[in-house]
Amino acid sequence: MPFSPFTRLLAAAIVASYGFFLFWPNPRAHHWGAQALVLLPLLLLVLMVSAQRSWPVFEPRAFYRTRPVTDGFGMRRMLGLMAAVFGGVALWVMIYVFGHNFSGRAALEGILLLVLPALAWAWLWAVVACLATRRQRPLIWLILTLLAAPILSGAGLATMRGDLNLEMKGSFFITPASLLILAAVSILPAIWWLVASRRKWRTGLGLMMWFGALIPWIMVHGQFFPKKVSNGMTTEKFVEHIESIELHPPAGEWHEVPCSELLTIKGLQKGEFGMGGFLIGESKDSRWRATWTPKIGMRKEGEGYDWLEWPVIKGTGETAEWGGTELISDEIQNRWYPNEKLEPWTRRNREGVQAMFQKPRLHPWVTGQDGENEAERSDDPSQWDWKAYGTVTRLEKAGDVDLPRGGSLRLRTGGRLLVSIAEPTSLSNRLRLKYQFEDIHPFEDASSASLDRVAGLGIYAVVEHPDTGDKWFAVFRFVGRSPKTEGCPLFLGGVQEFEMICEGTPAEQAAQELRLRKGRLAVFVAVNQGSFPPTVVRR
Amino acid sequence: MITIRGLQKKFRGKPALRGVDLDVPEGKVTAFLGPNGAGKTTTLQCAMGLLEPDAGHIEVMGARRLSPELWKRMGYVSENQCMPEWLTVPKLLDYVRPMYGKQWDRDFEKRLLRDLDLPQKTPLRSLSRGQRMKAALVSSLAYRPQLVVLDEPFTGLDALVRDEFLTSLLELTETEGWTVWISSHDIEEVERFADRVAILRDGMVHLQEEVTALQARFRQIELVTEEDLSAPLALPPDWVHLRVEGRAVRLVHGDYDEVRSKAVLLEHFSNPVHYEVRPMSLREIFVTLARSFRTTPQS
Repeated sequence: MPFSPFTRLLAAAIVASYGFFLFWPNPRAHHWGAQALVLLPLLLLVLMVSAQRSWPVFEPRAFYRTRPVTDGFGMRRMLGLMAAVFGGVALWVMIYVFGHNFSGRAALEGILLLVLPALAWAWLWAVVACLATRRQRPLIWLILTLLAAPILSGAGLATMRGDLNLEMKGSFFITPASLLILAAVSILPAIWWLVASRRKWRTGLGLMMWFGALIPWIMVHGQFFPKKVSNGMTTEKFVEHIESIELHPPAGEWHEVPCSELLTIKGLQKGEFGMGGFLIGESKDSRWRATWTPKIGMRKEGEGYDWLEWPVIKGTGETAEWGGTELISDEIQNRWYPNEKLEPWTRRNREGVQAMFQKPRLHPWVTGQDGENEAERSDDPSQWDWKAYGTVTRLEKAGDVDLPRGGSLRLRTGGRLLVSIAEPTSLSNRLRLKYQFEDIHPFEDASSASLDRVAGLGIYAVVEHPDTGDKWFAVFRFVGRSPKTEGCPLFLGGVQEFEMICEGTPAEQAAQELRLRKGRLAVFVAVNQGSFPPTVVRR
Repeated sequence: MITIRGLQKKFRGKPALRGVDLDVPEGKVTAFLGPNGAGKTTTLQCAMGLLEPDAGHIEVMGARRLSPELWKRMGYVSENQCMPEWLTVPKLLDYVRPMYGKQWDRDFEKRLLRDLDLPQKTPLRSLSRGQRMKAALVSSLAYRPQLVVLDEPFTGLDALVRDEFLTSLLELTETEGWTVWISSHDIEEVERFADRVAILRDGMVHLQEEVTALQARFRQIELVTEEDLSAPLALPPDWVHLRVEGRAVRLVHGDYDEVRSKAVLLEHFSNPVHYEVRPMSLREIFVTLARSFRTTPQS
């Protein structure tokens, strides 16, 4: 028998709502969905009560029980309803994961996150609705019975412990909330079957009370498998073919030093690029208290500091070459446009420009990770420990899009790039790119691995003129997390925004704008191959 | 067709059935009578496997547990059933029809729909009580079951609808030869077509007998003498509901024999000037039995 129209409509609406929140174009849709989750238990309650009323499993008055079907028929219908609702949600998740080019693990995590808690609520309400419709006792008796168990158990636990501190100390793979959900999803279907059965409902009720009594204990003691905490830095695998890395901190008074003198790398292969940074601070127990963000830039020696861009280390097979994005441009030209010339998107005088490392300044408001007093530390970086770190990348072509239509490019390593033309502003026109990447941590180190995973992604482009076929090499600048989705960037992932702007003289900007309005865009990404082993020099 | 022995059932610790013994023979219409709360519905639901009894033995068509195959040979209509009220009558029939396969008789279904005059486009929730019962009846008879169980099918029906319902049912039972077990708290509803009657009271069956045999042995007797009478101290067990009013005596005789019973009467009340014996309707017998434990001799 079909469920009542209201039951079916509500079930469909619940499934549809997941699709709405996952796929609605507004970047804040995921945030809305997270907020709307508080309504889900109520909706599931209504659904289960409605389903139970239109299909009372094992009830003497149930219509199907006087028809040539087995008693299990009713139970299978209810299970079918559950499967349809939560199977629909799982399907949405898989479509979402596929669309965003995330991994199977992300799909599994997404299903666990969206389905399991809702399933736990659904089973809970199924049990309650079944008990309530059996009409063996007044409803108020039932409610009091079900509430009494966890309340009394919690009171007893509080008496034994002195308090009911639910705060977790540390990070765990199995948290009280996840354990409770797993227990609910495992136990409640069996309880529902017992409650719905003709002769076993008292056993089911007793088991339900036992489960309720267990809840406070799970919330207080239910954390297992602690996660190890890393030093907050790289957790990527190391690139093993790096032969050596030498760090030569300057001695005495200094203002800036060429990067090539500061750091030498051997073993970086052709086609590989290194991108990294330096830490200056005090290391204790392998944990760095990074107090400065050293400035690295491309500038002319002897002139005022003009930070152009991040330096790049290019592998040559034996030594490494320091430079700027022109090294990237050369690589792209050699590999993908061997018979053509790539012009720079922005013409700048690069004569005499080299990669420089500027002595960091101590900001009075910066404190260490331990919150120590700045007055207790020396402000002379030469008295501190030095650390060089970084990632090794290789260029890959992500794909081509037509401008100004833009498009979506799926990355071989997962995630995707969304290219679009931003609305022109009074300042400049720009090409916007969003990098949507998978970001889940179910079984990984407690520290976020996204630092290296995301920071290592450089995005470059070759813009082709539609008529002449001329090509320009451009760099997408990282502008940070998407402001519109602050707080809830992307389900199972994160979003970072990059942009390519029109800059230069008005005539140059006009020419660039024309290319963005009509041209074709080839996008290249620097894919993280691993980290080179961090090198530490202690003073 | 149905055999029940020692059926017991409690609700919240209170006994609803205290050992019900009942037979529903094949090919007959058995009326299951009793006041509200006597346990009729509970008995039916236990027999149909809808409730689990606490004790007792039940056999339906030779089986102790009802299987889907057995349900293809039975029809059950109850005022308490949760019907899918969002369905129209045709949709309801479309839903149940596949369950019965080839056994379902489409022509018979159409005839029932025509005879019972049911609307086709109105959801069940918008039908009157009588129409809903008729819809349930169609869905339970179209496959020509061997056993039809009706639990208070006339409750809430007005006289006209009840008459239509009864007429249709009577015709069907006569033509189809079904076994019918029908429960009711009103004897008038079933006396037109019941072959057998069972009376349930306080969770036990106090009487189950063929209607003809019942009517053959029950008589209402009126006797008038020349002198004022007083009630005898010891009453024969067959005398029910004895009333003495001056010189007149009225009583119900539960096992009347023309010669023997008259002789016993004349022993207690000699020289009557008026002596009348008349048969009783099923309703009168039922009412008498219902009062039998509360009536005391009056003078």
